[in-house]
Amino acid sequence: MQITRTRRPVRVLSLTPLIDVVFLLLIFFMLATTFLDTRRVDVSVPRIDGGVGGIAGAFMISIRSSTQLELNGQAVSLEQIEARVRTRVRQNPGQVFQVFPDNAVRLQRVMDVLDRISKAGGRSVTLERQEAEIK
Amino acid sequence: MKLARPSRRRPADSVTPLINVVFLLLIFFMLTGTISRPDLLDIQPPKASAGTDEAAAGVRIQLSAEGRMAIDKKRMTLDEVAAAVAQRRLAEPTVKIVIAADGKAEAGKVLNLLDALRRAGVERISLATVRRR
Repeated sequence: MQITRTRRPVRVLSLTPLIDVVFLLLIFFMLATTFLDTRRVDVSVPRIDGGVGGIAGAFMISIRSSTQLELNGQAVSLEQIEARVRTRVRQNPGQVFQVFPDNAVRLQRVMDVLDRISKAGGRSVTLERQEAEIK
Repeated sequence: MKLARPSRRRPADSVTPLINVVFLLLIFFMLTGTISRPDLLDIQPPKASAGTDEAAAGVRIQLSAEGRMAIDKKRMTLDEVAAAVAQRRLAEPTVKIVIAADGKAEAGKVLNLLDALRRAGVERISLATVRRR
């Protein structure tokens, strides 16, 4: 006796649920991702006694306003700071660079200075308050 | 004369190219973006070209341009921030502390926060920045 094999119909797999899920994933990632390249700059928190190597080797940058910068009391430009930091790092790689921003200066300005120090090879930076402003 | 309208049978649109494109978009967003916890305060960190890649922060202190502060989803005063950091350091003394301050915030506000952190025993912190293009 010959038995004809029953032909099982090939069921077409429905793609719709797959597409639904993929769309949901897509929307999730579109909403949840940010393309901002966030990074960080390390800063030391100064101790209260402020003893970071004494006056002799001090490298103090004061940020007076958005245009005025002082290095150990002399007015300088951002470019000069970068050059001075570079020569100092060559002499003393462990040099601590103290940055004293005025209270009203915007953080972006402070970051511009930190950026220059970092670019010139300065690794150890502290953020401190101007002595005159400690009350 | 009656003309039989030619039966215009539209070929079934293939979904495959659509799925291909959607998959490509999906992979693009998965690979290029980073998923981060949204901040409570609206913060645009200062731009900088130097700096290292941001590591996962233990404590992320947010400081807005107006001087408001928050950790995670909770608004805090300066004292509360110091207390929260001190408590966290009890459990994990080497916890990494990142200050995500707005670029327009006044440096004095950041210095106040640093003073408070120092009193909590912190010696090193990181300032969050955004890469300058």
